[in-house]
Amino acid sequence: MHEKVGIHGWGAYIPRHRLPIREIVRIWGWDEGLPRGLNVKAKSVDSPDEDSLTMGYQASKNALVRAGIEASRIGAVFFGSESKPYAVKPAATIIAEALGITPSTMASDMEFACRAGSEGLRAAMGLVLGGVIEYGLAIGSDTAQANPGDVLEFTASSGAAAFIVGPADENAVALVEGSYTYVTDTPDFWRRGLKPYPLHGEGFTGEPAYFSHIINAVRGLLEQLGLKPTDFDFAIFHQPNGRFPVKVGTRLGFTKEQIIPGLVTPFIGNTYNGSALLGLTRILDQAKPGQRILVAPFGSGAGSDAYSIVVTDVIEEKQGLAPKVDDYLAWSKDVDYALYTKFRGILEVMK
Amino acid sequence: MPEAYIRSFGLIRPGRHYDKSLYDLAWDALNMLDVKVEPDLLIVSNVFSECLSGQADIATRLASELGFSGRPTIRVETGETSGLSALELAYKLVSSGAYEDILVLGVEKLNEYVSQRIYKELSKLYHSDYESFIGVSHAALPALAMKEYMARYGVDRKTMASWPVLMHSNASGNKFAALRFPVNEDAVVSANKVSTPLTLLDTFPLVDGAAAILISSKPNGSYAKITATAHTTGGFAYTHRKDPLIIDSLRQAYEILLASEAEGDRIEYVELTDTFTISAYLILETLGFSAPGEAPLDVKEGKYSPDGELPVNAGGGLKARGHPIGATGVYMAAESAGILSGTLDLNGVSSSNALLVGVSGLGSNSVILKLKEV
Repeated sequence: MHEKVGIHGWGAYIPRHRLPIREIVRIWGWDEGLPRGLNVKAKSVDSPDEDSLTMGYQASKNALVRAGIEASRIGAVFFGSESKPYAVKPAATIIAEALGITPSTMASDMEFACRAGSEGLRAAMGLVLGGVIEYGLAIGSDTAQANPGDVLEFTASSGAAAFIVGPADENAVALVEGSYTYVTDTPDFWRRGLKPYPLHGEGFTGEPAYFSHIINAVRGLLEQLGLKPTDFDFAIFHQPNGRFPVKVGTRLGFTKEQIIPGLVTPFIGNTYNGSALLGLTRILDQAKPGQRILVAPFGSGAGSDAYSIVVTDVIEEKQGLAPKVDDYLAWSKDVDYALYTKFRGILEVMK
Repeated sequence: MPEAYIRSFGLIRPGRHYDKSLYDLAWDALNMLDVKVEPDLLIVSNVFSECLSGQADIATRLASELGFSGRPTIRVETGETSGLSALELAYKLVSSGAYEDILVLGVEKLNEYVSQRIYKELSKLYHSDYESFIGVSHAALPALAMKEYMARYGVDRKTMASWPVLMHSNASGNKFAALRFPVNEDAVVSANKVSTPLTLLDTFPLVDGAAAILISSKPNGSYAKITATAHTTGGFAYTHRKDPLIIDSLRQAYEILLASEAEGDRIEYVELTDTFTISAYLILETLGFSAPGEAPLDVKEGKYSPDGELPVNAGGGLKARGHPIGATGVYMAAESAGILSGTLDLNGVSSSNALLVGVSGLGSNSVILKLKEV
């Protein structure tokens, strides 16, 4: 167990366009039963003028508005993504500069498949706890890639979430009372350098990766804090599809009533570094003082973090200060597969 | 003329053995043999070592790895019938008096790559110019055969599911099976489509595996003996066959086998290469065990169940025991030897003889072995 860290601001961003899953079925001739099993109706698609960086900026701006602090008091910016616009050159510095956080700050990009943003969150918490910084900004953002025609294409989507952590004082909207990380070398999903799309390691996915790591992380946290599933009001797990989070949660002893409110994948797909963190922003959008939240992001390769978060009395005055996840879910417009390929740059165009 | 006995056999449970190389798998199977192995010849049955393990001359490499350096070795590769072809060669070499003890080692390591790559290799079992070149996948031709079968004989999709249901039931009682869980007809029909109308449960699992059999001219302590074999080739391209629902090469092989036997006895047990559901039905009908169009119903009514008139694939077959391509025929012989000797309980089946039927790529070649108890 460690001392408590405060969450001061949270923010989400989901691009407007949605590709209905039936469009992917239509184009590639998939069996119609397959997407039903995934429990995903549509996936969010970034516009041509958006990327993981711009989405991360927007989510961070929402978080900063809720935190109500001077941007310059932030001493670390961690950007977690597997779809960085630059292979070499930090996105974190661009976001930090745009928000007015620079120059007296740490800033770097994190990579750990879908849990890089969460690793950034743990790192920022550690720096706050160690007294190195006053506030830290952790961002998870992705415009996730999937090989056209691959099963990953059903869910790989775009979105971002951001959190500002700082002292456990009276301005904190929630307190992180414990966290636990569990990682192993498990090759369930990867993308080699200079390759446009990731591969998935079939037999290494699912049980030995997602389920094993989340279950071990959550059990480690519960043991550390002496808590049990019934002590939580909400439980949020990494959301590669709409089915796995419910399955892993119920296996851990959580109920659907605890899991469903934080589930955003059925509406927008898997936002990779957004995913569970977007689920957390949706819960913070609606949480009441005193409620306890479990959140467990997962990243391939593989690892999972589990956090226990308790909401404070000031949350309700912050919830309306920026757009909520449900506002972004409602702000939607369907596109067809043709427009999707254009927006995503899948069409090869000679310039 | 010397006879050829199955002096010992060893096999490992097929599966995704990510932590084992092709050589580890072979070593594990070899260590399952219950005799000290000092073969005069090592015959290796393997199909994909060049493609998936980066090794040509796999037989010499295995001889070196397994401590048989100095002895002769040869690799046999005839697609999905490789294991049975290797055993047939061993049978003939022992019967001829050329060798006394031959170790037949079937080994295949598929799970070094994602399945997309493996299926690309599997498509090479079909004609490279007329079939795989134009993108025909390993499942596509069996799917077309299945479609034709259902249309010609008016068999519905659910009845077609009888075979995988039986195989999964049989595999549940086989400690060497990869998929030891039961399925019902609805599960088969509603499983993910692989190539319409084939679903995932109409196909074999991609597994690694290894099985070893010591063929010896010495009868002492043996488990069974090989009494007859036949090996034929058909037109390589499936699309060039006269009738897509008759396996010409298998029909011819069976005629040769029957003609070679001085006195035919009633077949009591059959092991066949059910690469896909449709493969099993076509083999059963080509051999005349079922009338054309009636194999699915015969399966459903229990004719080929462990307690039926003619038990088939009591260990779950390729469908559920698994299909480690080059090793499969050796598995078939090993399991049958276990049944004939009463040393391997596969759902209570006992028999005094066994027919091992191998068909590669819907009939590009066929191999049959007849085993008898000793």
